[in-house]
Amino acid sequence: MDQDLLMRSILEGGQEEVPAHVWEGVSAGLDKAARRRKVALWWRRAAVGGAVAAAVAAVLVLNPGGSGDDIVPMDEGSGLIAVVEPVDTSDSVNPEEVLIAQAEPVVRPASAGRRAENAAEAVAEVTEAMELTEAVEQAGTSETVDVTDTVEKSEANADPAAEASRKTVSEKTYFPEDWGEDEEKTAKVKTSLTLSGLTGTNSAQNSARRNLIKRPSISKAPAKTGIKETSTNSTYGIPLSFGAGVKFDFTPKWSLGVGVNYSLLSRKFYGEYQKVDASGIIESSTSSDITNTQHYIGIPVNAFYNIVNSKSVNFYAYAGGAVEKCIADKYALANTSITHKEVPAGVQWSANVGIGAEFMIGNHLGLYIDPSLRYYFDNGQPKSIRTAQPFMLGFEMGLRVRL
Amino acid sequence: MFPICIRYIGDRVQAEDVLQDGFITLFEKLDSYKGDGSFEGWARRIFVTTSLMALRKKDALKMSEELDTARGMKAETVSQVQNIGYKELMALIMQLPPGFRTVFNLYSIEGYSHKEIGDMLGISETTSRTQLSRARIWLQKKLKEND
Repeated sequence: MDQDLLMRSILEGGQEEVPAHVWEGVSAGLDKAARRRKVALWWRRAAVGGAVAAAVAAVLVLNPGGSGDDIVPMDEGSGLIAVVEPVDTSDSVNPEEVLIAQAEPVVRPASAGRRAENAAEAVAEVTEAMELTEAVEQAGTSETVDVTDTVEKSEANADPAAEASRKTVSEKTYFPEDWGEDEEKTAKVKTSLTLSGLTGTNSAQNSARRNLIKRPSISKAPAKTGIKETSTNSTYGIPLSFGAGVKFDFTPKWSLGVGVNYSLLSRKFYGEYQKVDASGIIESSTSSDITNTQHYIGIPVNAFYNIVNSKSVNFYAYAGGAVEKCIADKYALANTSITHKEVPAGVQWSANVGIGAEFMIGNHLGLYIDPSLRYYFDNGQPKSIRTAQPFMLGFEMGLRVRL
Repeated sequence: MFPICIRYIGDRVQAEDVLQDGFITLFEKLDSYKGDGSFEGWARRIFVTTSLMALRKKDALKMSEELDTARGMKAETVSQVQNIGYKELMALIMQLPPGFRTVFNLYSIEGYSHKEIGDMLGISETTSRTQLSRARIWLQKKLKEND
């Protein structure tokens, strides 16, 4: 009797007692997997809900018809914006904390052994193995003999019929060439949470419009308390943005990203703070260096096209736009306690196009960097780097969490 | 299925964990069983796969290099195997070095060919044959010692 068949018959008749804690662990693992599915579903729904809420907020808050104080620009006749120089800021982009969905830890008996936490991973791995095709089974198994020692030669001389009979012994399985590759196949639309920081550069200033630009329309209303810019020179700080978003992968190639971001613009100029009474008479006037900071809240929307999609790095191109509302336009006079705040009317529209790379850290976390070219439309917004240099090169980087 | 896990892992305690993972996978993927072939065979495949995944994670699939001195020994007949029972055979298999044991299980017990084993484990057919031969030599040596 063939040695292998004999051993097989001996082993198939054997039984082993399974400790009770194994079944407890199975139960706990199944509960854990069910909870993870619920959490993932909850995050996905929260992401969708957040995107919808952001869109609704945009409709409600970004009211282009609202009125607000306008800054009366100085030097109305010149219309000339001098060469701008960036001001190095000491602030650096600080990435936000990573949001990682974690299910609750499972309380298991101490004797249950290993990790219900890894059950989902094991399930995914085995699923991968189970679902691969049976190419090996169907391929011809013409084994060539190339052995040297005595025992190996005896193997080579084995009866081909016995060899062929192996194929009928047990059900064949094709094990994947890439072992242990986790692959989420549960959702048709993959969702990712993004946390990002964006900064723009003034490197395009040489090509930016430095000559006459369309100035905000001059209000015909009586003079009111506000800032007068008495110098044509402004120094602009590097714009910074932070945000969070959701990215939906509709197909392997196309994705849609939507989010909410906050932007900080700053500039310094020499100007005058004029306090005007109700009758339009200037009560007081203070000249000083003035720091102007503008705070924007916006909703960016981008379409992504995946160029290269691998497990470790992704390359893609994207295009889209954003609508932003200036929620605060603040002026602070140096060496004084005088501050002034405006809420400009209207919104800032922009369009952007760029390429990006995402480096995967594990299966669910990716670090991405997206250089882009942005254009800010002239929407009558307060003077800023965006009005001085509508074309800007931006660098966005952040963390993307796959749900 | 527990004997399957024990045969591959070689350690009962670790095999319990693999058995646990295997059952979780089986219950999770019950709906994927389409009735092609026997349910036992489908379930067996899950546990074999789970065992091999566990070995791979522990980097225990390196092919063994032991028993170079045993090369040249002739293969004995099946008589020695006939004289042992399940427990003794299991104990011997569990003592096999991981590389020998994996190839031995896949070839002698599961019935895969050397080409299939090579594809599964990323080794050549020759390596698979060598590992199997040395596993058998090792078993024969142990059987002789036990006689």
